[in-house]
Amino acid sequence: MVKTAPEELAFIIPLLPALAFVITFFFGRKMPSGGAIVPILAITVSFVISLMITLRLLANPNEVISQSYPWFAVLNIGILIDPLAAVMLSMVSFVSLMIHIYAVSYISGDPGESRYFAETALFTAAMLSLALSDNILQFFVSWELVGLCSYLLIGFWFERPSAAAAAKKAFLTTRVGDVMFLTGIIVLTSDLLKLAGRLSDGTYLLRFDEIFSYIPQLSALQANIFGFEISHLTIITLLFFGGAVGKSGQFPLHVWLPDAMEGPTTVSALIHAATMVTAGVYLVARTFPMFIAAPDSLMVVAYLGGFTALFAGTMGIVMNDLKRVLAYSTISQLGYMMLGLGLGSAIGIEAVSISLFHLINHAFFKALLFLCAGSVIHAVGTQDMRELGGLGKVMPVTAATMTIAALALAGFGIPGTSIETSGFFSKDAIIEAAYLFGEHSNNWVPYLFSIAAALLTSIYIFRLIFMTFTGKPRSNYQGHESPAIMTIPLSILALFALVFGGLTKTGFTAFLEETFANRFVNLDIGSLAVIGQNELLEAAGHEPVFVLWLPMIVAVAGFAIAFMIYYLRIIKLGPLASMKNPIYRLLYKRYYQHEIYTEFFSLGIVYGVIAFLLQILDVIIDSVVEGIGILTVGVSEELRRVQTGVIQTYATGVIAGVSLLIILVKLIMEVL
Amino acid sequence: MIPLIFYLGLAALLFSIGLYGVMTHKNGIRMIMCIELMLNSANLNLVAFSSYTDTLNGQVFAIFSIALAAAEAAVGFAILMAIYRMHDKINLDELKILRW
Amino acid sequence: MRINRPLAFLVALLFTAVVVVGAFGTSWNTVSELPQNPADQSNIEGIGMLIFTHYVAPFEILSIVLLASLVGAIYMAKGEGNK
Repeated sequence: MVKTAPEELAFIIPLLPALAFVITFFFGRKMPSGGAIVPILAITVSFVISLMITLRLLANPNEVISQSYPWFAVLNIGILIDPLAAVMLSMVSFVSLMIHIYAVSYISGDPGESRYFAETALFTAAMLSLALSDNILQFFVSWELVGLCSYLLIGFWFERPSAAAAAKKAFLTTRVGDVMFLTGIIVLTSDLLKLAGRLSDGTYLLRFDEIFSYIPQLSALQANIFGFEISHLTIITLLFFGGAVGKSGQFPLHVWLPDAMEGPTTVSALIHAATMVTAGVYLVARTFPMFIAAPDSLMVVAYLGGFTALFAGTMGIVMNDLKRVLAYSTISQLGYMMLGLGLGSAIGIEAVSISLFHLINHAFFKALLFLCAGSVIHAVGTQDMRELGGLGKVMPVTAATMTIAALALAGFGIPGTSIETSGFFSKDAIIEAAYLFGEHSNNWVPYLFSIAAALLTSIYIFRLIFMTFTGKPRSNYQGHESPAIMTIPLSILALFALVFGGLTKTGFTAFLEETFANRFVNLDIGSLAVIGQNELLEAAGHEPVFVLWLPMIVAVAGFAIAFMIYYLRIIKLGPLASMKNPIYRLLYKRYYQHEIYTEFFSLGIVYGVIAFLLQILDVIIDSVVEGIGILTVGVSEELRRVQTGVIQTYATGVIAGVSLLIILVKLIMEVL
Repeated sequence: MIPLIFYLGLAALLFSIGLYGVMTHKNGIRMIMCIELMLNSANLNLVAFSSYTDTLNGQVFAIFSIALAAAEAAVGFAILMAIYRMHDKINLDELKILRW
Repeated sequence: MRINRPLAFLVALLFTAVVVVGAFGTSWNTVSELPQNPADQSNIEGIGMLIFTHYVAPFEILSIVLLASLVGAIYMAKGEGNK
């Protein structure tokens, strides 16, 4: 038997789920449980191949898989599996596999069962192809494809008006980011065409290595915008970041993510917690050399990420909907990842690894949280926490796994020991990096943001746990533990949420730092940082002990607050948590985002302006169209009199015409 | 010897007369006669050129075209008869079925 | 509609002028002297030879065209009324 090298199988990773999509889409209805077995098998194979490649890369980081085929003009389609892509591929296929298995039970009985599995298979294919694309255009195509799948799956129960509206909102809001991303690609392409001059055969202009090799020249290009001299690289990276903001639900384009919870919970777990929303983070990580070489870009990333982490956390603590709490939590955690990347201005390439580390860990525990929530919703039929309570006795597995996930999310652990959850490693790594950044640049804003957000995280997640699983039921419901096909994925994910961070901590960071230094691209991040006027730390500083402990302390503090309020009920929140309290009202109304975004901005300004312009256009176009019509009718009314139908008239006309023509030709030839 | 241009001029004159007739007459038979006139002016040209270039092709062509003129005249008169049967007249300017 | 006779005359005149001027303005490539054969003044024999040798195919086709046009003319002139 011929042993096939893993790189020859790489193209199968996205292909199999895509095939599964086709099969499930057309024949799923005739198969048991909507043909779920087809995507599950396909994704299993994808996962196995991804894992093989990842392990091979781990053994020898230089075994980067890079295959390119010409597409059209100077563009190509290709596969690039470097450490960054490898961990992303493994994570996506693994989480997707778990959620597919879980969904067999969760979605069973729904009339759109086969449609669900077809769409999630397509989503998985698109997400995997996004992760392994080796050029920015293919990245964008997959990016749009996952956006489409997100739209389809949020609107899975499209007969519900709220789901249809949420799908539309998600699509339109991310579109704002997508347009920015596309603009960035266009600017980048035109710049590269200008810089590269004549292109020889075999160069693929938008391939990442090609882009990175032009970073110094791109950085030298200056544009004058409102009197500021801005490097083209900054413009491009900020436009890319705009796309990431839309996709990853960062402020101010985060509004679609909580609404996206209208979709099935499994969809929320797969798309809006673990995979698609991290595509934005992945984009920034993927183009990190550009970001670090661009002045100010990483600062924007850091500030926006930190702010989002805090901002979403404040809304998370007042939501009463199980899934919405988790949605705001996701936004907040994505903010952390962005913050982690933004800190690259001080810690360099390490930023990518801590951010991606958090991304992976977050995928495990957030998918787990969502699946547990789905289990609760599946069993009870409501997702309003005020109606739940005391579920811990009825659903022990769900309660246990969800508590583990909550611990991981809050980042519990004891520094310096190995009694730590995954979230502790990654989130605290980001917080510590923020501290280093603060020490380095005397700018403590990101650190404060991240610490405050950590406190809020702990409060809202334990509020959720206590309100759902402890105390007495606050309404009549028939709860029961979910079947094994749902609890087994929960348990596996719980295991990962608990130990993955601890097992891989050291290896992971070193592994990901190989991303930009291998045979595909070999970049010196340090010198790129100089181009971007980012001063990197010489060596990893030593944080004071309280910095190491502070995240833990705030996590425990948050736990204690939640414990006292929602378990012991010592502190009565009566007057505080009422609509009379302006702060509570502000939070509960989600900072009046709906009023500002939808009613004021979308309906008022955008819709109003468009309606006004349409009216003007109507008048102009109408008059033009009608004018042409009237003119035609009038002229032809006169012209048709020529058509007498008498042969002599025609003959006269023809002869006169021919004679005059000959004279004319003759005259012209004489003159010439 | 008569120069070639005299023949050509005669042919042009004949053609113009035929043309004038076609343009002014309403009667179908007269129009066909005028058309024959124009056709024969062309024949005259053919024969003239044939003689003056010392080849016989033009004269053969003239014979062919006379034969075709016969066919054309036969069909033309037949059409006129059909029209006459339908409308009881052959004043072509009152036949405006070609009109829009 | 009444044909405008002066207009028709003018157009015919214009056409004549164009043709005549064109004809006079062209230098025709002709033999300077008409070939004279004192023995046989006519060229019927030559034409006959041409028709039945070089132009025999057009001649045959022409006969068919004539036949067809005759049949058509008789059919149309006969009319449908008196079959």
